[in-house]
Amino acid sequence: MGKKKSKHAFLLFFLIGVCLTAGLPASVLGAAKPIVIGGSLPLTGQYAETGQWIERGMRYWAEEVNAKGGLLGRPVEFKIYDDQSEVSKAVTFAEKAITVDKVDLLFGGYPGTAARAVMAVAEKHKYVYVSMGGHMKSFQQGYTYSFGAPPLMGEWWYEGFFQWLATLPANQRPKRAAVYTINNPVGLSLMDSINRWTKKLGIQVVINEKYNAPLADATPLIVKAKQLNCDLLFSNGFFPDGVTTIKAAKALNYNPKAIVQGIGSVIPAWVKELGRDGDYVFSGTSLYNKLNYPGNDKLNAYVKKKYGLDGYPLYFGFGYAWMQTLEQGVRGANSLNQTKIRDWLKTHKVHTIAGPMTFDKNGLPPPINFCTQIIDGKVELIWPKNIRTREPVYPKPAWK
Amino acid sequence: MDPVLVIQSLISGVMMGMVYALLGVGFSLTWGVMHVIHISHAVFGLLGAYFAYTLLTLYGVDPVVSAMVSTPLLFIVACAVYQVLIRPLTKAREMVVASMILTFGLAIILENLLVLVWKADPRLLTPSYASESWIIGPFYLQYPHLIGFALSLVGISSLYVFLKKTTTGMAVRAAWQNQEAARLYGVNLFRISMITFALAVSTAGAGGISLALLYSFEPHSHNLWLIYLFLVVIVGGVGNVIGTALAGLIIGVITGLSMAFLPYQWVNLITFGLLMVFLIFRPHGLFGEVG
Amino acid sequence: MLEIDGLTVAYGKMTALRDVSMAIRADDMVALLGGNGAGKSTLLNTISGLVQPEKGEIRWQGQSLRGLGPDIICSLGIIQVPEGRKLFPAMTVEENLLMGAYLPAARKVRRQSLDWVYSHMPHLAQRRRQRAGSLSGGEQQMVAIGRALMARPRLLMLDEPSLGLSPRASAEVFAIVSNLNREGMTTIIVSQEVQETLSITSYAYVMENGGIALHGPSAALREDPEIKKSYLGL
Repeated sequence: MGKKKSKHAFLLFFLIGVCLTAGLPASVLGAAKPIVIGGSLPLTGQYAETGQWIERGMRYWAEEVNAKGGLLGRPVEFKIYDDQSEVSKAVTFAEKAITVDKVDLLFGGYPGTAARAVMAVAEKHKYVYVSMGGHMKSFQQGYTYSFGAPPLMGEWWYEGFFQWLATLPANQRPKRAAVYTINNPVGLSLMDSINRWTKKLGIQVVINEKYNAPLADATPLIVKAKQLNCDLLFSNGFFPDGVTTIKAAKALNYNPKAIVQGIGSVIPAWVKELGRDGDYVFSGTSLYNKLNYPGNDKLNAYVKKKYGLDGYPLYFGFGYAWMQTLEQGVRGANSLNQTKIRDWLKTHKVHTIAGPMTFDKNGLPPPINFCTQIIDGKVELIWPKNIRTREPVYPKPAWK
Repeated sequence: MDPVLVIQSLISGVMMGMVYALLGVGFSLTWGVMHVIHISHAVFGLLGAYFAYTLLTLYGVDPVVSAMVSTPLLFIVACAVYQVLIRPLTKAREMVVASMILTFGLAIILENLLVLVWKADPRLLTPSYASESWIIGPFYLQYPHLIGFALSLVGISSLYVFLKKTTTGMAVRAAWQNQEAARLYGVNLFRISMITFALAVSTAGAGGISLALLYSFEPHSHNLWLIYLFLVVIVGGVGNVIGTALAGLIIGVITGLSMAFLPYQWVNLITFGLLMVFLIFRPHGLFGEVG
Repeated sequence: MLEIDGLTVAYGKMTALRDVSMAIRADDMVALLGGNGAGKSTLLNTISGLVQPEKGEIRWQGQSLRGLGPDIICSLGIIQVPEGRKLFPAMTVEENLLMGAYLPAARKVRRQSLDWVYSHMPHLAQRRRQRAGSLSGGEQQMVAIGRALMARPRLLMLDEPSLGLSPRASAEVFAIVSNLNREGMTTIIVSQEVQETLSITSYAYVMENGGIALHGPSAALREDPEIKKSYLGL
């Protein structure tokens, strides 16, 4: 490195310093300096599929914003790290984005536990963090900068299913439930609504068992449920164990009145890979691509054109919706001051593809009660009734 | 305890265990004979699974046929992998460690290639009989289990016959028991190692296809499979073909019984606790390190 | 038949053989004597192609063995019975013997070879189905020699064949070896049993520190008082 070069660098720094201290608007230096939005996503590893869809949703939002002249008159730009689906890396990258890259905004993301861990980092540095969170507990830690817009909330997941079940005549409802739950925070969060509602509806929980991943074999689970005449099956698991359970249910010709599959069935692979065997499974959601709120049609048209999909995948929508919320916070506050953005979001209504939302002191919207059922290979919204896309199929037809 | 539940759990447990044994037998062989701990072994299993998946979804080819076709194909691929990557390792001072590091790298590269070609989405191998059963009285023999079991029996016994009855197989065993003596009587270690490695990898393909009949798979599934490989190999004895099969049976029985009698949270604790117990008290496995 | 000329071998920085020369004629039975670490085993392993020399030449019937691997050298009929027997312990006696006839030429005649070996060592025939690792030391040595014979040797090199054996077993081994030599087998025998070895061989080389310290007809060496004292420890 020659002396000359370092002299130039020094001059450059000096000039920049002068400009900044003089308080000149950035545009004087040339084009508007972009707003950098940083953070990490699981682009490889276990949650790569999810992370990649979130990224696509976010990028679509940025495309749209930039086409309309940007945010606060500045273009937006992402600085995305790949945390390889590891919580510790997600935390490190969040720290790095805030303290080293000094990003203007933090983007949210990642299913489950990592979002929960990153929420603490965001709170420490007073950065607004709009993500799915890590279920109810993560929103009950007194954080003021975190928002779930919409959140992924296990505790609310079966709310819609049970609300619908309650509308059936009592003699048509299932009587005995078998509940198999993956032994992790996400799986266990589903128990909240099951406990509340089975009591309320007088459904007897005959089997209530937890299992650890990997689930080596689901045959014993199904044999037990079948022998104890359970006519309602809750398979509260992820994709691999969920699939193993459903395949065993079919192979052993187990036909309960309804099968509720909590987590695994919400990703597109469920329908694509299981085909007709994945039909009639109930689940919950906090976002749905056929919702009648502005933006959904546009997103659906985009993924149809770009990826050949009928309806945007859940996580594409999440990525987009979180950015929508953040965008409205920034515009509302008319500033990149994090505390101002937070305060605006706490006191105003935002409009997202998941519907209009207000946030309580924990950063949560009112409980979401969507219930979905897979019918003819399509995810249909069956509850709330007024926005239902199809009548539910109940009881479940026998396996073919 | 209900006898139907116990027997049904045992049946599916044993069949599942045998499928892991098929994937594990080659892993055991490369470890025992070549002192190569082949971390990417299960990735080749995945390669078989994706191969079968593609043939099934595009052309409706039955996974059993794919297993037959993938075996010679993987054999050839593995010969090339051996020549390019593994053979130069023989100069390394710590063959076992060097091989682990190298094949760990290979696993990462191959996994990323799988993501590139087949995407990160989970896949299922679903031929028409994927969730059908053969019903005998109160018992259900699930076809995927049966097929995995049968492939496993065929795969493991052909490997056994090869090792016991052919001259090359005998040379493989000899090379493993005493390298220097084998060389003195004309065994070309590189050739024998290449054949061993290639055979191991080609059985991995069939093992991966059998596993894919039971479970969903994604490009990173091999990490999980690898844990089971260590399990069957440590229990069965490194390099011991029959031991691996018996280990598969035993692990199947233990899994089946613990699923029938214990809370499900304990099942993995029991199976992998077994691994710890073996590593501490019987590091040579139940049946010793014998071909 | 075998000529060695100025052979030097090094393991890393350590020189194991320095400037070794010797000649073995057909039908000869040659003793290779010397203390531990004198380089006897290294010399045999270099001839067998397990170790490549730094300098020097080994010629087999006039043809250089330079750069040839152990499989080629084995196929030429230069067969070693390694020190410590180095059997395949988990294989049966018969499998061990058959491994001696692994290369194609020997494999073709392996049935005859097997009969020939069993006729020389009848009690191996009784133990053919037994695991080699389960045999006694003397029997294991017989298997090791039998395995070498299966390769149809033209030069048989035995490295410490009597090491660790009972006197009786040891005598048996020597009897078999000298019997083979009488039938025309060219033999090199490495041994610590100096008297015994010198009595059955015709010529002897004494090694020290990787070099040949002296050599001469076995009978002469047995009588030389100086040699008895300094090399043979008598």
